[in-house]
Formats: sequence, C-alpha cells, structure tokens
Amino acid sequence: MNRKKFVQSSLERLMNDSDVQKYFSPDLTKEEKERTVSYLSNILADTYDTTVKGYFENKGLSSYVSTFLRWTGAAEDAIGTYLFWAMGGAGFVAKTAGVGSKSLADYLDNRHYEKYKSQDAKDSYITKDGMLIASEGLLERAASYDPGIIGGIASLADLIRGTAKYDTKVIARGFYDAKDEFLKKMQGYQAQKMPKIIPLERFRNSVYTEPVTPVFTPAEERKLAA
Amino acid sequence: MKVKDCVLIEPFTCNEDATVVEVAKKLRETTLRHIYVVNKHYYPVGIISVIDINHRVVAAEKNPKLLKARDIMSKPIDIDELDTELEEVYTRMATKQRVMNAVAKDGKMIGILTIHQVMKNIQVRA
Repeated sequence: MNRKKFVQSSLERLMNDSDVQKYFSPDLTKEEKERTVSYLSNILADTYDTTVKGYFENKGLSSYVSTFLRWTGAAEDAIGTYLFWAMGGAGFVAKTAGVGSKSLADYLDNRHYEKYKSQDAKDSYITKDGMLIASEGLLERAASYDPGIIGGIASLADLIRGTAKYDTKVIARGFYDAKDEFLKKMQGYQAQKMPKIIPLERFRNSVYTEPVTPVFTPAEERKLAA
Repeated sequence: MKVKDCVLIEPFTCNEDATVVEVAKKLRETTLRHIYVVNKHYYPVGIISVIDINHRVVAAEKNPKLLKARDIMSKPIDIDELDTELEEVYTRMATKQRVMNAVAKDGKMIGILTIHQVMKNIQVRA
C-alpha cells in the first residue's frame, strides 16, 4: 500500500469516526473545515512514514517466498485431500506438509512484521504481538486436516488471509496512530483556546484610586544607582 | 459560538469574609457596579451590587463594619463554563434579567461575561 492510497482510504474512515467528527461541528466555516481536513491528511501522511511505510516498502524477497509457500501449502492440502480419498492415511502426510509450508510462510511474515511494527502504537487499539496474529491461523490449519468441505474452506480461508492478516494489522496500527495523534493535537488546541481577558485596570475609577507615591524621587534613584 | 469565543473581564472579586466596608472600598476603585464573592477555592458563590449595599445595609441601618460579604450577597448565581453555548447563556440571562455571569474553569473563576459580549457574539453569527 502506498502513501496516497493509505491517506485516501484512512481519511474517509476517519471522517466517519465518531471521535473525529466532534471536531467537524456545523459551526465550522468552509475554510475551517478544509483546514481541519488538510491537517488530518498531513497527520495520516506522517503516520504512513513512521508506521506503515517501512513494513510495506521492505517486504522484499521474503514476501515472494512466503506467497509461494502459502500456495504450495494450499496445493499440498488439495493433494492431501485427494490422497485421503484415494489412499487413506497418506493424505494426512501431504496435509501435514501443507501445514508446514503455511507455518513457514507465517514465520517469514511474522519476522518481517516484528521488524517493522511501530513500537509506540497504542496497545489498547490493536494486537501488539506478531505471534498472536500468526496464531489466528491455527484454527484454520487444524481444520484443514478435514478431508471434506470444512477442510477445503479452511484451506482457502488460510490462503486468502495469509499475508493479508499482517498487512491489515499494520494498516490498522497506522490508522489508530493517526487518529490518536489527531485527537491529541485537537484536544491540546482546544485546551489552549482561552478567551481574551480585559484587565481590571481598564475599569479603574481614577477619582477614588490613590496614586502610587514613589519611595524615591527620580533624582534620588539616579543617585542611588550611581 | 461558545463562552470561550467572547472577551471576558478579569475577575473582580472579594472574599466571603470581607466586611461590607472593604467591599465598598473595592467597588469604588472601579467603574464596575458588581463584585463577585468567591469562596476559599476562588469559586464564585454570590454577587454584590452597589445597590445591594444601599438597600441591604444602609437603608436597613446595619453596621457595614460588622456585616460580611456573605451576609448581603445575592445567591445563587449563574456560572458558565468555557464550552457553554452562547444561546443558552443568553436565554438564561434574559429570563433572569442578569447583566453579567461568572465564568469558571476547573473550579476557579476566570472571568466575567457581560450580556453585551453575549449579544455581540450571537449577532456576529447571525
């Protein structure tokens, strides 16, 4: 995912987010609204650079290997199903090989994810541990041993979700980081916005206000200072 | 528009325990005709006008050296927060015939909002 796509898709989602919408009140003028949208876009672009870019732009060879392994795993699953119906127990050997391929692919993706995930992301928003994401495929992998429809669906789901489950987490992390940053900045801005205060001095009644009598005359002050 | 969009006057206050003489002296030093009474946390609890001093002290033949601010202040008063909508403030002021409200933030008085400011800012928006 490139910056432009990330900013566009996330901006649309953020504009519909209830927390963010608070800062787009109907009281805003057209210019103020445009300025806020532009500010939000800038935050998203910055977040892309700090949180998302590294992950997507450094996938390199391991990404191809992982994709190859996932397809290989799916093929081994299919072969396993065929062998199960044709030769019985031999099918499970092929299926185990399929699980092994897919797990290796997960290992590669997980290593890449752990390397580039943002360290300062909000834990409450998203899953922090890459291993936890990898474990999401455990159920599908176990179900893929089934030589029937369930196994087929599980194998297909595993293939589709494959690398995408890491991509989704990274994008989600970027999204929530940007949202968090925007809310923090806007709250800070609103907290700073204080009304102008006219000093009481402006309402002083000169008739009843006693003038301040200087302790020293200007001549005496000059003498003391010298 | 909200209260924070208005221009406020610096709080003009006296302590609850101040004597009426002290309050009167403070009042004569400004052109303002009202003074807010604040508690020990600097939160507004009442208001005293020059008319109150005339009606509740002088005309009632009470001793201004013994009477405290809390004895003659008008209460309760309306206190607005910075995020209060001006339409709401205006409605309350008009209904209760108030010319100024205290503005507080985080439990402390930070200024005085006059009806002139409220009307001016509502008018700007209209």
